[in-house]
Amino acid sequence: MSKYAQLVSDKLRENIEEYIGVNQLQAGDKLPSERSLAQMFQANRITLRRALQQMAGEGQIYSIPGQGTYVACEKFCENADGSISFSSSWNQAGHRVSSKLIHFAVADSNLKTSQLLGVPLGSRVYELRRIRLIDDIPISIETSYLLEEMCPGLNRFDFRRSRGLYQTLKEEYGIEIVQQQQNIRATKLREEEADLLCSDPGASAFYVSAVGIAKDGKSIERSLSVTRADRYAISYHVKINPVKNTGSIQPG
Amino acid sequence: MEKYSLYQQLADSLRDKIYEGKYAFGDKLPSERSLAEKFGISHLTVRKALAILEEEGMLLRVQGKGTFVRAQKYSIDMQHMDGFSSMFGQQGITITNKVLYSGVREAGFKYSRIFGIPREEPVFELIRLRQNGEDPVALEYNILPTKRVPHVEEYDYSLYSLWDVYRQAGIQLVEENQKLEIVKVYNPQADLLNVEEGADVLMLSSTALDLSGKVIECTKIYDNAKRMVFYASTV
Repeated sequence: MSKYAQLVSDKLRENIEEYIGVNQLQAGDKLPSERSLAQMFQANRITLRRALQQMAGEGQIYSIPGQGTYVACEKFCENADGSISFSSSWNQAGHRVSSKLIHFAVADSNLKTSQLLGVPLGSRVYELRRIRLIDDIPISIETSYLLEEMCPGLNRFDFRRSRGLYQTLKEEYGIEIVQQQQNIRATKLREEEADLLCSDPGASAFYVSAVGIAKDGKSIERSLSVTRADRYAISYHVKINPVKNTGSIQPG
Repeated sequence: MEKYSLYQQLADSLRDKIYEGKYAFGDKLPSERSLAEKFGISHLTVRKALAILEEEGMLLRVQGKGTFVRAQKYSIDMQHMDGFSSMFGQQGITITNKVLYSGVREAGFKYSRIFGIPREEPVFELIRLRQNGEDPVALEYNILPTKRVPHVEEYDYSLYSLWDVYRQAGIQLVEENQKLEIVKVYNPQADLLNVEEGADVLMLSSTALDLSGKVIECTKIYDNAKRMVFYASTV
């Protein structure tokens, strides 16, 4: 077998995961010392340390120098296709979500917003920036851009706490956003973002640029969000039509 | 947490602009002098930031001519389900596969739970490095129960894809559960992906189900976070 066999195998990691699972360790519970883990799984300390480092890198455990290694709490896992409204998807999962308004004004649309919304450059758009909190933990900063013409007077609504944007658009303007096209990549928190999210500058984050689309196919909302990656994962459920799939696959 | 230095911030901000398409492939970046003036920082800081992006392969600096965008970005469509190579093929990128490991083992605790099989039952483990030329695009781990995918261990995966095997076995994958996270990688993974130890990468873990609802494949893909964009459409 190749020289990578030992290097890339996850076997030891699986052993530690099994230990956590079988002993029903919860977030904040302490793992046995490196020495006893090494003994338990008959691994050398270097290999063990590497496995622990990998698990820490993936947010499963964390270490406090001089004290030990602990089980990390699970990341909030967004179910991206459960519902496209931030609030309702989390409420369904039993979490408490809230928002904090940081900016709400009318501005001239920039090039990218104009392109995405299909309007002339410099069109009047509402710019709504909110901090999203899950169980009172600031998770994400989200900025939405909406054409003023489409939802005149949107600024009379109070988005300071838990009022939902999508719900307001639906109830007050009859605009229902039914689909979101997202573009997701990794970024690092800038200083001002880290301040707002009670995190550290340079910490890893998701950068999601999205367009909200109405039933008639019209682009309604452009949004940009920066989300703490230490507390958040995005999940997707993809279903494909088996008939459509037949024969459409190319080799390799 | 280390201090988030000025040149790091500038590098991140320029990278964002390249991703957003503000600076597109082939575009010339503003001069070092104008960047320094614009952000009120020193030439040295600008130069350090540009050096980072040059090293990542996002910029090309030509003596006497300036700095140009040369980023080869990779994208993954989360709704796309017919395999990595075919997806990249549609982007005009030919992926070659280096098989780092392949072998049969016991399912063990973790995979017996994922597949709903006894822990002694065999699973096939495959680890591949997906490359575009010499450029590592992704490191992929697959685990499959051999009873559900007959002969899976007999193929050469530098030549065949798992999708070829599914077709051969008459298996239709119809459903996939995916989870996208940003994680830190260390050696040997970091080395294989050609990133620094402790660098951020995007990790996509997924399970794929066949028509009968059985889990056929459990996959984990590490992608270089600086080069990868994911697309998704949610309803």
